[in-house]
Amino acid sequence: VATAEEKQGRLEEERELVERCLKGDQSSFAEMVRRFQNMVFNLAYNFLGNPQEAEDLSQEVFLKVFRSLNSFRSDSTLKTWIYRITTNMAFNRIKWLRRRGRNRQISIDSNPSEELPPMSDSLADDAPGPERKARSVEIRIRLMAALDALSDEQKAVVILRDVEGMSYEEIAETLGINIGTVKSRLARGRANIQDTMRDML
Amino acid sequence: VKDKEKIIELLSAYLDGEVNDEERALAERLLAEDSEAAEYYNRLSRASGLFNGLEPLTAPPSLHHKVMKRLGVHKSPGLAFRIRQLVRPKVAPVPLLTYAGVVVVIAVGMVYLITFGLMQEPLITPPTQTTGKPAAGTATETEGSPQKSEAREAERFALGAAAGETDADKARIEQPEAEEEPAGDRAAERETTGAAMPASPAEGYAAETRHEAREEARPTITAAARSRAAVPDRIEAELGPIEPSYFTADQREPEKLAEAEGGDPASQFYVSETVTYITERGEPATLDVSAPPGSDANPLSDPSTFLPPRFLSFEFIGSGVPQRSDEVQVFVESHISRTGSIIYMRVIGQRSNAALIEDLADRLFSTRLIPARGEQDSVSVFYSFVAVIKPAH
Repeated sequence: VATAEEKQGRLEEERELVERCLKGDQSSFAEMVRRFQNMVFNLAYNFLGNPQEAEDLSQEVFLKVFRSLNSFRSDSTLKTWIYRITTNMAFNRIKWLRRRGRNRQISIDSNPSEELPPMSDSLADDAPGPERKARSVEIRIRLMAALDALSDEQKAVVILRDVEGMSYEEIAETLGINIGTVKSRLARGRANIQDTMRDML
Repeated sequence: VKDKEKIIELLSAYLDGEVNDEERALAERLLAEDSEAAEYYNRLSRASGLFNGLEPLTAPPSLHHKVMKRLGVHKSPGLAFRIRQLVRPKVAPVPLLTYAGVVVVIAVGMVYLITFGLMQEPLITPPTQTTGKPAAGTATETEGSPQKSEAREAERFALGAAAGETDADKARIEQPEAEEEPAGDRAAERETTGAAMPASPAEGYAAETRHEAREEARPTITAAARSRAAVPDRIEAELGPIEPSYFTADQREPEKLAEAEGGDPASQFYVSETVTYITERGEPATLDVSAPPGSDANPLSDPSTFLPPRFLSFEFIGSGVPQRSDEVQVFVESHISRTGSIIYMRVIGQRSNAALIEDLADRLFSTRLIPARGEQDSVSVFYSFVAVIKPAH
């Protein structure tokens, strides 16, 4: 757990990074992208369930971050602020995909990194390694399918808490809701996930 | 009901340690005294553990580069950037050295003309009409003729060479800067991959001759290797364009599937698979999955709802790959949308078990899927499990 001093130091460092970016220092923005790209990509992937969509969204998020940097207020952390932008843009993207009849695509092609081998790799291989990987892929797919069955509001809270590990306070700040709402949405979302995944629990 | 909701909320917050002392004491008392609450809490904890066990994903290595490249277009320009923009020509970038070279050549040419031009014979000899064709080495081409273009090209090359222009420079001048691959190109790439696949359904299905006769009799399509090119027109006509990614498993490794299908006699695996679909109008209706009417829940989340109990019974082992001769692996992939649904199934098991697998496949594929209703336009779910198959009692 970070101490108050460490938190303050991190905030100060973030403020300086933002200021350098605002002055047009490209290397600072490159650093910002490097620092947050995994976080943004993960969150985008968890919302959209498709690596290509997640990568496209991540690009848009960073462009938005860059364009909106002057509106960043250091009363929240940069991480929370970027989370908020990613979440809002992911919601918009989901709505757009729904309008086009292309909601989340969870398939055996969902292979955003080396950790996720294509399911077909494990078809005829009973070695423990591939089996574990296949199991991991299956769990991810099942979890994402369960998330998909939630309302957007519940999904956001569950992802931010159970996948991203954010505190209730950070979630409330990110989504612009109060902590009580975070608690109730999370509880209902988790209850629904339990129902969906009962056979695995 | 409200109490139940409160309990659920309390246990959820207790799991995260987001409770005060009073709530913690209440939760602990509840867990000690109420077995139902304790069971719920255990499942909650296991579900949370599944999320926590997910490997964090790494952003694609290209993401950073793409963002920075796009920022070059979208960033709000600073003063230095604006000055560079003013100086920089709007056409394709040309190296400064080339500019310098051109200026030097023009200057030398002008000096030469001023000094000698007015006093010398014309540098270009007038045409000598002997055979009706221009003499070699002359510059009498008509506007737009190939010879003129070649001459211009040679002249430009000479200028470039004089200015120290490299081949790379030339390429840069002649072509706009190569754009990064847009997202849409991935589809084209998939198409390219698909081009390597069988060009017609008949070719794609060649390995499945033993199923074809049976499948012809009903609106079900069996295929080992599907690509966009191999998707039957009938499905496209019913459902509209089908995303190639629906069939990526087969696109990705057609050889492996073909091998598993029986192409390799040494293969110990036997595969039976099918795709079946239903339109919103219910034509043709071939799958029946017991999702509650009006529900948009995924009907495949619980295998017992769609596995027919007749003739064969199943003992679910879990996930993974078949380990024993009587085990099979069943893959179910569903794509549900308002315009229709596609169910893709595959059964894999030991070759010695082929007859049972075929029978299982028949039973599975004779079910029917109810079209999705509700808010979600399209849901795609992949599901697999391993089971032991036995004759039913």
